[in-house]
Amino acid sequence: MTWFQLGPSSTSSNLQKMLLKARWIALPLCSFLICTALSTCEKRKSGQSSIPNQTAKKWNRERAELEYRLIQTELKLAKSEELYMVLNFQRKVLRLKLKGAVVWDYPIDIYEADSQEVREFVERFQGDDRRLIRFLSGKHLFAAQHKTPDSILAIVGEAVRANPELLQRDVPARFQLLWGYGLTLEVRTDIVGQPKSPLKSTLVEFRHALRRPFGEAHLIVKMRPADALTLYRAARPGLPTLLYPPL
Amino acid sequence: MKRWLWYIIIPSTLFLAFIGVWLVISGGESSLNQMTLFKESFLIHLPQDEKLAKRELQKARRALARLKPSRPYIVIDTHANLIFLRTENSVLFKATCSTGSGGELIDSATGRRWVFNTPRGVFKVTSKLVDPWWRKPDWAFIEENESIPKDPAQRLDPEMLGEYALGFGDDYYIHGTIYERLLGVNVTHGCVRVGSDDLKKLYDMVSIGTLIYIF
Repeated sequence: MTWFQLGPSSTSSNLQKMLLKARWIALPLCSFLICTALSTCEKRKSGQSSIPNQTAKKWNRERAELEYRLIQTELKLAKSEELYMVLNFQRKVLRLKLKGAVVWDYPIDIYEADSQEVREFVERFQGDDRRLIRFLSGKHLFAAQHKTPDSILAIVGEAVRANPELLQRDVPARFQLLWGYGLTLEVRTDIVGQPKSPLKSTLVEFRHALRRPFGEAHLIVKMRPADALTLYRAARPGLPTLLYPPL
Repeated sequence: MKRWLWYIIIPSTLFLAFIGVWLVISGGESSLNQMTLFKESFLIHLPQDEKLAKRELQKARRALARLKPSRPYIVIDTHANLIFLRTENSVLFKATCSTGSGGELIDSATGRRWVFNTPRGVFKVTSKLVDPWWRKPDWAFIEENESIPKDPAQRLDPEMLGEYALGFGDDYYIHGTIYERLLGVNVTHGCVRVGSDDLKKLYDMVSIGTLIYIF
């Protein structure tokens, strides 16, 4: 290294020796510091997991199995190009995720706050085989309100040469997401909308009434209209839904 | 009516009624393919050995953590016409935008067809432009019933894209607009329009390589 040979003086040669010695101390010290920093980052990352790091505490096999299954299932979902929903009762949040990243979330605010209802919903969702994933089988809009007045959209539609109906977005006042097996998540907003397809709505209500004696889990969630709009439109039949049960 | 006919009509009616009630009660189930697709997930178990199990769990946690973007990312909600800059747990920036109309244009002369949708999926900011000029594609002239110019200079429009643009591939941009009144409505040809003040803020907050999630 050229900078060690700046001059022939004894001071610089002493400095050279010192630096050479320091190198042997500095190298392991630096490696140690890097390793410590990396392990700290790793600990922080694993601490962000939805289930608290159990390995640090007492090993709880059942909980670890659950977390492992949840992670593996989510990894599988994240491989696809499609959106998926996460019903996280541990963090009380409803999320839409794409490739593992959160793209939309909303706190689960149970309308009729009763933990028994949540327990029933989770038990029914999991079924006998303790499944963590189901697929949305349908949705039904009871009432909605146009986001933009039709008169404006008629003008806009003409300007951009698009069908005004295509441009319109119905802001849902009340809708239901259905997974089959008597699982329903009802979303209510504080807007008063126009009833949509009353006949179908009556049939849906009739179906609930018929199903009730056979068992049904019906959760009601309050939501802001803009978020309800996103959830209603993004929730297409077949949407994979992952459930993080309460601990 | 002959008596024996009733022996067919009554059971058939009862059977159909039963099927109808069953369909109403079941409300439709998920398809078998979806169930089989994730069958493996239900069968996944940790190794019996505690040490191995812990190691396996840590490995899985790391794999999940790797999926999460390491820095703030852009999310475009085409349903509500909103654009966000966010992390997993917090929203750093939110603005109204306009996304693809889903409209269709067919060139009657050549039969060429365009569908104006904003692409969905995961993208990256590939370019950051100040005072971008729009190079009008063929559909812009066809839509206006104008002839397509042969001189490339006649395609350039210095006003339409506003003051800033963030490219995310295939000629798609997050850009400004001269039609700010239409923000919040799905009116674009696939690009994402943002108001000028919000666009300036977003432009300053992101860098090339920032992930964009569109859903």
